Parts: sequence; structure tokens; C-alpha cells
Amino acid sequence: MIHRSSREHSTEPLALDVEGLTVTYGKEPALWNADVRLGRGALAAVVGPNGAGKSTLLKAALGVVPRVSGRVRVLGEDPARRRRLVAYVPQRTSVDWDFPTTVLDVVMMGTYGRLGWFRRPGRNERALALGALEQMELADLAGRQISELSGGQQQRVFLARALVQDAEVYFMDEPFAGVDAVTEQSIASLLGHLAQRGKTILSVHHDLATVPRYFEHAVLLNRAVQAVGTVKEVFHRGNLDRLYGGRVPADVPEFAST
Amino acid sequence: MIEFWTLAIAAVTALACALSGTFLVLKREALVSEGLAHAVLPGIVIAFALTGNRTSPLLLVGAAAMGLVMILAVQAIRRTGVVDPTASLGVVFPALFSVGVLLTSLELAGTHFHADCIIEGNLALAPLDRLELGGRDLGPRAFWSVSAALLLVSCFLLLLFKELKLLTFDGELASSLGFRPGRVHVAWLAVVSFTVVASFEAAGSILVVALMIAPAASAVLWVNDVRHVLGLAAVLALASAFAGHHLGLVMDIAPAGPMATSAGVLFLVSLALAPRGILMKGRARRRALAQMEVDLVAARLEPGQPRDWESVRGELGWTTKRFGGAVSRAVSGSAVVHDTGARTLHLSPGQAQR
Repeated sequence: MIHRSSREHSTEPLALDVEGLTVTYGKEPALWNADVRLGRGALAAVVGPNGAGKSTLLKAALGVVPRVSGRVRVLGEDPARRRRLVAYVPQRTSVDWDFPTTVLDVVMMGTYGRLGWFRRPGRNERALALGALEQMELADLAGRQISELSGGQQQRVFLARALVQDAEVYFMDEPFAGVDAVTEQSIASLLGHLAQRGKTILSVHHDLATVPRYFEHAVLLNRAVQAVGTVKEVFHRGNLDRLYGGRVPADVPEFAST
Repeated sequence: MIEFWTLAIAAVTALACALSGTFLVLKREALVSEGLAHAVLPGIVIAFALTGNRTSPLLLVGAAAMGLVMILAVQAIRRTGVVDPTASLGVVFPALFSVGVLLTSLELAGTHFHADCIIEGNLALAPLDRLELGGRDLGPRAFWSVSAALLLVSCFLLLLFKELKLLTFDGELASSLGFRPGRVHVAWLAVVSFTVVASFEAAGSILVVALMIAPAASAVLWVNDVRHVLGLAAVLALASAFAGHHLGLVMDIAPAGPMATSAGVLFLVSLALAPRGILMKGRARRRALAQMEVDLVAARLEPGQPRDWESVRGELGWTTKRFGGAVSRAVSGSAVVHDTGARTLHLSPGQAQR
């Protein structure tokens, strides 16, 4: 049987292609008709005021919350069919850190997707998890109870878990929240390394002052996407004033809009 | 022989309840067991009215399905956000329970189900109700139904331990990895509901809740790994069953009460003595404070430069007793040298680097 090529091979598919994504939890839409397109290796911050639907954008793109409408493609594929293409770093506070388990065990959860149903993690998965812990400079905490971790350590454990997934696109919900300056630097350089290796990152970020330093792209979101582009193009005072209703603190670096 | 069967039923019930209750405790939804223990009663009665046969295995399945539907309905009500979560439990389950009690007295007057058995169960009489197949006596029916529950719970845990752990710790990750946490959770609740129904007749509503929650709630205070929590909860549940059964014999009362009491006592002991219990936490805090006091004293001293005892005490603003205690601890730890004649203090030479 001869296939006529129905796909365009001349252009590489976008790493992340979100089209018309709409989500609601009640009367008001939490996310309205959002379009986000990112090429491979994009390092993008999602910024916007509280309740702008930043986490919802990630969760809806992942299929964790149901969408009213919209379509998501990761490298041209439906992520619901190719789960291994995406990794997710939830908000640190979304889980119970008193859960009786160890750091290594939490990181090994990143291998569960590859294992699939019923199969248990073994030596291989253990080695992968230890490698990721090493990369996050957490190797000596492998056997530690997760309840004994500091906030920055918890965040790095979550990132190690995402590294184990070895995905193409990483969704991160506030990876910089509540970490000290040293940890912030190590997380920033990790994101940079991932992007250099062609991985694509979409990360909710609250600190406007560090957006230009840590990210190359920005998604300005207030239920609807107000702008997507490189930080240079879209992350300027005019857009931010519009996004936050003129309440942007003065310490946010200015960018020429041209 | 009757005693043997009573103990066997008690032990298997305790195991099935403890294993199924562990993930409820870990998921911080222990109240679900309370809810189920109430909700299955109308289920049992209605399933009985429909099948007209108290010994049918369909009764167990029907009642378990009913319990599951009730739990899901309550969770749906909670998700609407219209009713306060705790209020929805408080409103729905007692109502269901009272419907069950009402139906019991209407439908089943003169049968096995008496309202007083609902609370306390009927463990003492359970061995007399035999399961017969083709004229052969296979032992008490209750033993087989709780064994079926234990088998079901064990199989689920063996097959889906990884999935259950993941959805309990991080449902969003489970969902993003395609593990369908909603469906796995409902399947697990179905198993829990079956366990509650199977244990209900022998154990009664209070004991079911006690056996589901107390062993796991105790175990998490001792050990730090989900597998170990499951194992220790099983051991504690068995201990409660044996102790309760023995107490019941000695005191000549129904075993259900002493079993629940034993589970409660084991929890209190754990709460007091376990590494994550109250006493150890308090002791750890007192030790840390004592060490901090020693460090504070040492920080005000230099080696070879004696300082007046009283002026150091004044700087710290401590009572004589507190300061004296800190100094004597510092001296016995050879951090500080106390010249009792001159009433002066100085740092031990070895401590200079600290």
C-alpha cells in the first residue's frame, strides 16, 4: 500500500501548539480561547495576575482538567496519546509532604509513565532516579524522608522527578516559589540547560523582575492570552500595565517595544 | 470450635479493614470509612428486600455497590461547593443510616438484622451461621465473606500498589501520566465498600471504622514507608483482634467492643511513644532547646578569659536555675570550664574553633 504523504515534512512541527483552549470551573471562563505556539527549545514564562488561569493553562494542556474547547499538539502529536512527550512539575504545595515515603521514591514516580500499568519499578528505574538526584545535587538526600526537606529541596526533588521523565516539553507550575537565592540560581541554570538541549519549557512565573534573566519567551495571560513572543518583543511596560491594570511595581526592567 | 471460628473471623476482618483503611488515612479521607459504615446499611436492607435471600453473595455485592454510589454522591455534592464539605457528610450519612435503621425494623422484623447488631455487630453468633454447599458444611458464612474481602483487597494492592500510591501522593502527576486517578480511586473505593459490607455483620459499624482507621493512623507514627505502614497496620489490626477476642472471653462480653478498644489503646500508645508521637516530639524539642542554651552560654565566653558567672547570667536575662542548668550541662559536655571558687566561666580550649 502506498501512502501519500499527508504531513508536511518540510517544516518541523511546533514543540507546543495550543489552539483555542477554553476551560471553566463555574460561570466565568478560567481560560478563554488561548493560543500558544512555541518552537523547540523555547524557554517561556507564563505571567499574569492572580486568577489569570496560568496553572489552568498548564493543566488543561496536560489534560489534567477538562477543557470546553481547544486542541493541543506536542511535536505534532496528541499528548493524551504520547504521554512520554510531556513532563509536569506541579506546584510544590499541591502535595502532602507528610506522606510516608523517601526522596528516591518520589523521584522514581517520574518513571511510572514509562513503566505503564501494573509493572513495578526495578533496578533500572532506581538508577535513573539516582542519576536525576545527582544532577539536582540531591544525591545525599536519596534516603531522606520527604517530610524533612526544606522548601528549596522539595522543589528540586520535583524537578528531579521531571528530569527522570526525560520528556520533550516540560510544564512547570512556579518552580521558583519559596526557594532561596542559591536554589533559584541552580533551577535557572537547569532550565537553561534543558532549553539548550532542545527541550521546551512552559513555566508559570510570578517574579516579574527575573523574567528577562531566566526566560527567553513570555506568555502574557489574563484568562485570554494577551501576547506571546520573545521577552524582548512582548515583555515591556505597555503590555504589563495592560496585563496588571497599571499596578506593575517600578523595579520591573523596562524593555523597548521596538 | 466456635471459639476458633470467632477468632478467625475477627482476625480476617481486622486484616481486611486495616489494609483497606490505610490508603484512606494516607489520602486524608479517613471519614470515608465512617460514611461507608453508615451508607451501606440501607444498601444491605434494600439488597435484601430485592433478593429476598439473606445468604446470597449478591447481597454483598448489591450493598457494596449501594455504598459506593452513596460515597460518590456525597463527593459530587461536595464538589459543587454549595454545601460545606464536613456538613455534607454530617447531613447525608446519618440520614442514610436512619433510613437503614427504619427499613431494618420494617422489612426485617424477626430476622437476623436487629438494630442493636448494627452498631456492635454479631461476632459472637457469626460462627453459628454456616455456609453449606451441596449439603457440606464449609464453615461460617461470615468467615467466607470477610475472606473474600481480604482476597480482593490484597489482589488490588498487589496489582495496583504503584498506581494507588501515585494517585494518593500526587493525583495531578498520576493524571498527566495517563493513570486515570479518578477511575482507580473509584475502583479502590468499591473494594473498600465491599470490605465494609463484608465486615459489617460480624463487626458492626463502630468496629469497622475503628479497624479501618486506628491501625493505619497508629502505623504512620512509627514507620516512614507506605509498604511498612501497610505491614505494621496489619500487625496492629491482628493484635487488636487477638487482644479483643481474649478480653471478650475473660470479661464474658461480645468481642467487638474490646476489639475496638484495643485498636484505640494501641493508637494512644503509638501517639504517646512512637517516633512521630507526642512524647518523642516534645523530647526532641526539649533536647534541642537544652543544646541551644549551652551554645548561647558558650558564645559569650572566650578560652583563657574568665568572666563573672553573674554578669553572663545577667546578659542572657535567665533565672539562676535556668542559667545554672545550662552551665552544668556545658561543663559536663566539657564545652565550658566553671571555676566554682572565683565564680567565673571560660571556654574550654578545645571549643575555640566552634
